[in-house]
Amino acid sequence: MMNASEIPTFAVVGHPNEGKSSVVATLTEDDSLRISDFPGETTVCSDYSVRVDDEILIRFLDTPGFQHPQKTLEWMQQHSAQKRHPAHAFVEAFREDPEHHHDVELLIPLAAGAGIIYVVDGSRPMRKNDVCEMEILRMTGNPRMALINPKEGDDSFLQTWKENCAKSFNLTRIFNAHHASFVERMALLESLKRMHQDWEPAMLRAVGIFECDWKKRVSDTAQIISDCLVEALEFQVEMFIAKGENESVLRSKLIAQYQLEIQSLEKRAHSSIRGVYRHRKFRPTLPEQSILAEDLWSERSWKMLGLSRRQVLMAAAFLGGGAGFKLDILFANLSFGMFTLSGAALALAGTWVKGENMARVKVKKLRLGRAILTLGPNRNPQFPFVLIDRLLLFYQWMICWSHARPDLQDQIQSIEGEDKAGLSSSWTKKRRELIYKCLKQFKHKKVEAKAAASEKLKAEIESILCELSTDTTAALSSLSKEK
Amino acid sequence: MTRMKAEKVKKTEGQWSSADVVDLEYFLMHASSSKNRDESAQQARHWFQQHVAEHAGEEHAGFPDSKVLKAWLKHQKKQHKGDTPLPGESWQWLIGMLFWLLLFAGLLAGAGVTASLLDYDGAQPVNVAMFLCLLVGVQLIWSFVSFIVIAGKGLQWIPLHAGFSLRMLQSLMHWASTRLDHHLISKLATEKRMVWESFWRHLRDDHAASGKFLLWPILTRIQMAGVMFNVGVMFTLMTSVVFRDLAFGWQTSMQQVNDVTVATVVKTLSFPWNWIWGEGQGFPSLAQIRGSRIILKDGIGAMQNPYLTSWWPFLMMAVTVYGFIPRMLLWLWLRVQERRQVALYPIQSASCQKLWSRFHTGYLHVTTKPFDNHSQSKDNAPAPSLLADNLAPTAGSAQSKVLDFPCWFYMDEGLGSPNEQSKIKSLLSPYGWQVKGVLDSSPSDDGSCFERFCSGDCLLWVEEAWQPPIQEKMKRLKTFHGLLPPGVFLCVGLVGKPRGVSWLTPVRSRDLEIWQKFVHQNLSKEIQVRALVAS
Repeated sequence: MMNASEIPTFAVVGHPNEGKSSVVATLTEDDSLRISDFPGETTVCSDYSVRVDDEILIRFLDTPGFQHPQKTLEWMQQHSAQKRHPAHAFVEAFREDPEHHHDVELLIPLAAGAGIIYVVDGSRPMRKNDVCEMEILRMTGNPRMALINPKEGDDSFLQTWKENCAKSFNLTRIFNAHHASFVERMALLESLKRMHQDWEPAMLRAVGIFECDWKKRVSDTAQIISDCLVEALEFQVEMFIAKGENESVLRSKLIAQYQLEIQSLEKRAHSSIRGVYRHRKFRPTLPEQSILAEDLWSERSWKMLGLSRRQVLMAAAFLGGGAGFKLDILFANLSFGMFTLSGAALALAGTWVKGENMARVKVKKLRLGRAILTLGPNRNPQFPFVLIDRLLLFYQWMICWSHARPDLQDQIQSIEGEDKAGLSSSWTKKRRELIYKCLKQFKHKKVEAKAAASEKLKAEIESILCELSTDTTAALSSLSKEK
Repeated sequence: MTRMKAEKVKKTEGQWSSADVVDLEYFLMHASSSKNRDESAQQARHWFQQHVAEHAGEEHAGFPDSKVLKAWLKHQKKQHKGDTPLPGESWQWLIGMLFWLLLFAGLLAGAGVTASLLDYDGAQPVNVAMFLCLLVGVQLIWSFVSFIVIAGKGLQWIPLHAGFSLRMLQSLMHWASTRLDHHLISKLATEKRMVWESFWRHLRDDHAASGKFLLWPILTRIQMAGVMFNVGVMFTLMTSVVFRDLAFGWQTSMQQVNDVTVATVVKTLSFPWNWIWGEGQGFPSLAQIRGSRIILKDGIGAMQNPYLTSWWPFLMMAVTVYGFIPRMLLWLWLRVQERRQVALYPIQSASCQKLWSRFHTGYLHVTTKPFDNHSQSKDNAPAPSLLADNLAPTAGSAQSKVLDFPCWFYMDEGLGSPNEQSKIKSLLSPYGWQVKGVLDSSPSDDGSCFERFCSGDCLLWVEEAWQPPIQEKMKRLKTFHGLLPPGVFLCVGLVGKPRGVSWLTPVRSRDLEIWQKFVHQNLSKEIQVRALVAS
């Protein structure tokens, strides 16, 4: 357990409405922080302690914005001859003055020796007040870093900010609180350790714990996705046909029920993933044009997601050929590869014939003239890929969704097209075939085979999620594609 | 005695039963639901730190320690609210019921079959060959097949759930558990009932994948039925021999089969026990075999009584050795398997491994509180927001019409602004502003710069709307508003974010709203706030 003084403490300071609370929310993954585009909403200094069990790892202090930067600087310059910490002296002098409440609140943690994270909006020009603020912070002598948070994506002022920040701060980083991926957050934490040598071991430990926690979340998500797929693939609904009931009406009722149940399975998976990524307070809203906002069974979902017909056929042929190859080996290849060829051809033909068919409604005759309608399990080769694509898109949405702000969609450009835009269509052939093989195993009655396939599927999904979580650019680009 | 008992209790405390595993699965399923995930992770970690890590350290073993898991389960059971029955109890009840059901079924079947085979009315002796075929031969084959099936299941050559009897029993248990659920949970609250139902569904649908712990108890109980069948056979044979007049004989139509052949077969079959009880005792002698041959045309009168009763020890031993003992061995083997599987479950199951890793992973969370270094601050009461009420457009503030009287231009932020009078005029005139003059420097605190102003003039104070209206700025505006000569009014003209060299850009409506609200609430409603360029 660390002493209080050894706990790295960072005061997030800056001009009002620069995104200080957003930075704290993103770094702590706490969506309960009050974030508003209205300036001056933060009125007191709040302590957001990141804890592992009961131990505090890092403290982030969200502070109100500077309200009197010019006056504060003037006062500090006039009293610079004093030996006391300038922030401490200012707090002492103005703590009774309600007019300076915000500035006092802001400077209290600096007077206590907290490291400074100065947040500026890099998408706006630099002004007099900014120069004053930087000078105030420089005068405190605390370890400090400038965090350029380009709120609106305009980078024409970035260079000026970088140059000016370099004069007053030990470190300067560009960090978009609204789009920061896990990797970017870790990189920021890594750089925080360079602010103060004494904090280095604690920061290293914190980064390790964050990484471990992230891996656990990825693994949990892989389990959720894999469970959802397995359940959806094995799902079936039944309906009794009573005497005198119209079979065709019942058929359409059954199909509607089946589709609804699968959709609720998908929604349950969404809710679990959202919980894993700690989006508790805000329900991330999907962009209007997102494919996820559309029905799983909609024509557009099936057109844009899943594998292309060629990819499905190739995967089927590979699997069939593989089974035939084992027979060829058994016959010491005296069959001259006939089994391999036949297996591939049969699988190809089977998949071709099944084509785009959904699960079929079957009628089972029972005794006493009764019958039962059954629908499922769905054997359409595209179905699991469409579902997996939707779940992966949702995962991407979750990891790109900042805890700081509930409206990321404005950053995503719409790309319309006829091509497949899901992730599965861009997988390598090896990955496609592996997943296809795992999904095929769920047809078997052998429970052990299913369990083994489920484990394999989970492991592969975990590796896909790992790749996605380390590459936000790809995540954002596929999110734009899906629109 | 008490000490021995205590030791026994201590020893069994660490052992797992299938009911424990069912309860563990229940708690783990409950913990992994999205609603409880966070809370459960925190509780598990907290418990581990308090009860295990504090004493034994945090060293991370690769495999879960079943003793630790058992202790956690015990703790969970203690914490469990009393109104919901634990599924382990129901499972125990079901398995208990199955045990007694199969035990009596086996016993009755064995006794019934034997009683019907031993039906002797003095006319015709009991056919030894038939007795042996049905009660020893069939059983021997059955035991052998059972052995192959169980070994196949154990080695995973045969699917775990294959087998007619197993499927039938599973269906029976399914039915019983549904009835039991219905009986037990009908009084529960809907939410708890749903948890309970989903758990049973999870076990029924997924138990083979999550562990074999539910299968082996069923297989063990099936073998118990086999054992009890043999007990029924032996008991009925013994009681019939003791309390009834029985006669045993053999018959054949084949010329090739004679007394000697039968004697050889009998001697061979009695090999396991003939070294204890020899000829005439453990198995019939050649003379006894010859004397007990049934020739229907001669009738029973031609046969001698001692020969007719000489077969029963052989039959009893045959049933014991080829029926009872193999079944007993199979039962023992399955008991060992059951215990092994149950003991392995906490180590091998994916959900236990997840719990184990939860024990060893620090629970990462964020706590919020006001910064506690407030000893220097006057009080801890939060300061009011700069604006108390919600932001709503101020009445009459959204004027987009341009002022139709002359204004004096002043731009507070230097911006390297174009300060030539003509340039300002030409820049603003396309937007309808009549610029009378430009104040080059900041208005002085004594208001001397306003001498040139006439009544009806306006001071157009230009601000960048995207900059938040901080208190320092508001204070300045307030000062100069107070210094303005009578009849001159103040207008805050807003510009947007500079684009390239142009500073005269449209203002976002949200920024305009913010400025209007701030100025009207903190300063005066007389000060107009407008966008220089309409958006």
